[in-house]
Amino acid sequence: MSKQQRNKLRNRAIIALIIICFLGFGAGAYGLVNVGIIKGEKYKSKASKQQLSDTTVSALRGTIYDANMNVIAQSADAWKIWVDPSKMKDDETRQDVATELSAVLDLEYDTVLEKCSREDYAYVLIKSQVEYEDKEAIIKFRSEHKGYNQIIGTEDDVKRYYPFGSFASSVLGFTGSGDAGLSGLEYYYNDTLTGTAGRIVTAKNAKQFKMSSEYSAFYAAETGLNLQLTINQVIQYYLDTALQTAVEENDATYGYGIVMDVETGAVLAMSTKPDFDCNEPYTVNDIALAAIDEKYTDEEGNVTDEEAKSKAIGDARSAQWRNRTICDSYEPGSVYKCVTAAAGLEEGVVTADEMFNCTGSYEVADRTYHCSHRAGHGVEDFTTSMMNSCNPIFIEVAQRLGKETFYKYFEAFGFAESTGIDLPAESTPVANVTYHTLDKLTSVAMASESFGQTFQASPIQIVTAINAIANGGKLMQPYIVGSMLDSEGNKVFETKPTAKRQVISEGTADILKTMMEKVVSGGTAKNAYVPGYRVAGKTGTSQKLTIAENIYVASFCGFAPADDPKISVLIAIDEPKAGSFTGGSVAGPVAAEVIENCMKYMNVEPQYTNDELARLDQNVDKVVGSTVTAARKKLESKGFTVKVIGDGSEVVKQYPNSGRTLPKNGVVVLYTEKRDPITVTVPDLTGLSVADANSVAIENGLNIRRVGYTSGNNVVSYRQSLEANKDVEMGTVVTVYFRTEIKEED
Amino acid sequence: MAYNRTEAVDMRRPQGSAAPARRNIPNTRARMAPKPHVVTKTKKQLRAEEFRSTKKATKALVICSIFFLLIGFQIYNQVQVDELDRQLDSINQQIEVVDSENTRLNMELDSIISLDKVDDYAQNVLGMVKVENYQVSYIDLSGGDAITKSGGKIQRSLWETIKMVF
Repeated sequence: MSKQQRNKLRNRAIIALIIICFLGFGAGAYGLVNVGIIKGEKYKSKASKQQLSDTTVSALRGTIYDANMNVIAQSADAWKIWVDPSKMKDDETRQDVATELSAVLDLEYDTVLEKCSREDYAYVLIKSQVEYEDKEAIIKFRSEHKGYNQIIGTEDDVKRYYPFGSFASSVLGFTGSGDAGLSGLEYYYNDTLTGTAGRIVTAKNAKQFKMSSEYSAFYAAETGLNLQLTINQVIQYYLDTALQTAVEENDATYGYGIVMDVETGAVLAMSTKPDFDCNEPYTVNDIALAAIDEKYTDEEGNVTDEEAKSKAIGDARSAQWRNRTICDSYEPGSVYKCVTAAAGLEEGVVTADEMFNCTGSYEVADRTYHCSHRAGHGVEDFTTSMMNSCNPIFIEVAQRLGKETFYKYFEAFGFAESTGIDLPAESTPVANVTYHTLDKLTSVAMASESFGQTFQASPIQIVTAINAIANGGKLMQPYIVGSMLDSEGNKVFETKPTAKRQVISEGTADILKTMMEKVVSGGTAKNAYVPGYRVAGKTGTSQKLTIAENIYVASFCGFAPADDPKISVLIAIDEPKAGSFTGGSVAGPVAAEVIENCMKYMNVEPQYTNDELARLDQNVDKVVGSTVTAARKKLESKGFTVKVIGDGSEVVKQYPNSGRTLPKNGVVVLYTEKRDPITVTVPDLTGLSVADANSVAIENGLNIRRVGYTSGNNVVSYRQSLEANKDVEMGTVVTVYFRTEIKEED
Repeated sequence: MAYNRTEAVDMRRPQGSAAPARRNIPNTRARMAPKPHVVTKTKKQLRAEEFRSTKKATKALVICSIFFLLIGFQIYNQVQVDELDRQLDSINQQIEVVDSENTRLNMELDSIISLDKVDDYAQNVLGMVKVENYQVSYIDLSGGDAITKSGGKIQRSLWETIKMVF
């Protein structure tokens, strides 16, 4: 082989080597680029999936406490139950699964069977928020049947518990899927309550088991913050109970109520009735459901319009979730006279004892305004005009103030702005829609506004304004969350009471307090009177003219004790249809009940007048073991009536027992021989005067405990604690509630 | 047989007495092959060598055993850790379930003893009545705590006064 041939052969070999190297390394390099860069993310994800176990650790939603740290909403783990209908081979399997699931989960069999029949689906949710016992029952059922592991599945879920059901439901709201807040505080503070989910990333071995903790990274879940509300469970209970009874007795559409701490503006209780159970927010309350059934069901029990009924149920559901104390507004009526009086007194255009003459009407421009007492109240001082809720006098005060000054106080008391309470969907006043701006405020409009008409305000606005009078003139910003706590219970945030502005001087506030106290002691708010406590307030009766002329909102707003106010209270009964419709008759007794309970609960010492002391109930002494003569003498000396049953000489049993209280001249039954107690039938004690109710009770061998306003004229009983025709033991005490009928719009 | 003989064979050198297989090699190749070099060792030397090799083999065996033992131990440990991890996971899950049950039962308990139910039971079942205001005694604590000494000047007998002195 020549040298030339050898060189040629060598060159070819080198070229071949280069080509081989290029192709070989090139393929390798391409592979690297392809795997590492072009499809890098895909392979990275695949590798992670294969080698790592990534578990999300869900963060529990924060707990909600009342002011005394009682739990009122708390979350716990739960489960979702689902089925895979595509893997159910025959009808027998579907029926078997549907039977078991419907029985365990308390669901309609047909609904579950329908879900199991969706053959095109691989995942159909049967029920969420299933508790442990039910889940275990389903897992047991699944394991007992071959192949059911592929058909029935479970998934982690969370359930929110509200132990007291409808307690403050319109304030608390509720949560939905994934424990997300959908309404009320749950919605407003959703970000605060929701924690941050954590993760556990663990390496997996060849058999896909998790490897030891040294191969894992743990990112702890952060539990959401807990909320401590200003709502007090006991005060809320008093308000809820009183409102619920009032709505039922007055056949009202709604009832709203707020109790506020005078000094801070903290909301101690807030209620809208009827409401809903937070654990079952989608279930429409009984009252609304009964009304819908009545409307859409014919005499034979058939539904007349299925679609309309379904829509009505949906509307009722939305309506029951509404917190009407902040979302709705109404014409405050005569309650607003307190603001007009405050402006007049502060500006010096009127004094509490200035004399006026109410002729029954007042003319402004071309309009004649009438007093609720058409004949007129005659000569009266300013305080008495407030006690009588006399419209013409307040129109006069407004005219003296002038538009600018009148509007200045309207704004100062917060009627042209929302209060800023920490709850969702608070109604915002709309200029020249819900109220008149200064430039649109005519003399006629101002005259109407002076006694609370032609503008609207929400209950929270009204109680905040009256609260400013109670606390010496400071308009406080209302709030409902007192503090936020971490999972260890440390306070991470505390709400500081905020005084927005000083709207009137302390001196003016003191004069107004006295005037408002007189409204309760002798004016239109007599039914809000509570023996032993000085209550101040003002009633309001406003027509809902946009609906009909004879539809009213009856309200009372006040505070107690008048000399050292602790709480402000607003009660509004919307559309009472049971006869009485005035604020004094309908809302006053409810306010009295709430105030009395709150004062007792807050350990405010009652200060009785001599009259009140004379009417107080007395303790029954122990006379068992005494002779009949001695027992009779002892009891009659206290003013009790004695009834002796038996022919013996010694008392072996007495009813009521010693320690119980009875009104003076109450009946004490003494038994001189052992025998079954004598029963009597409870008579109807409603619609009677105090004396009549008492005599009817004594005639029937019963005692009455008087509650409410009992000392004036036109006092009648309107409620009794034991229903008529019920058999009870002789001597039983029946609580009878009295009120005075206030027929004029107040 | 050659492997029973005691002579050592030095394969580096050609030997006259080649292995029987080599007898079939053609002469030309046989002539070219080097003669084996034979080293003769004493029995003592052979025993020493055998002892050394046994020692080496034992050493290797011990090292291997330790090695495999360590690996085995490591695997066993890993299995144990995996098992404990699984148990830990399971216990953590059980704790979560028990926590949830605890919450659920507490909520159920709270709902059973809610104020309305207590109120209803107290009044309608136990026949209790609400406390009246006049049955409550209010104590004014606004003045703070104070100690009041009772009695005035102590009257002592003569004998008691003498005892006090001593």
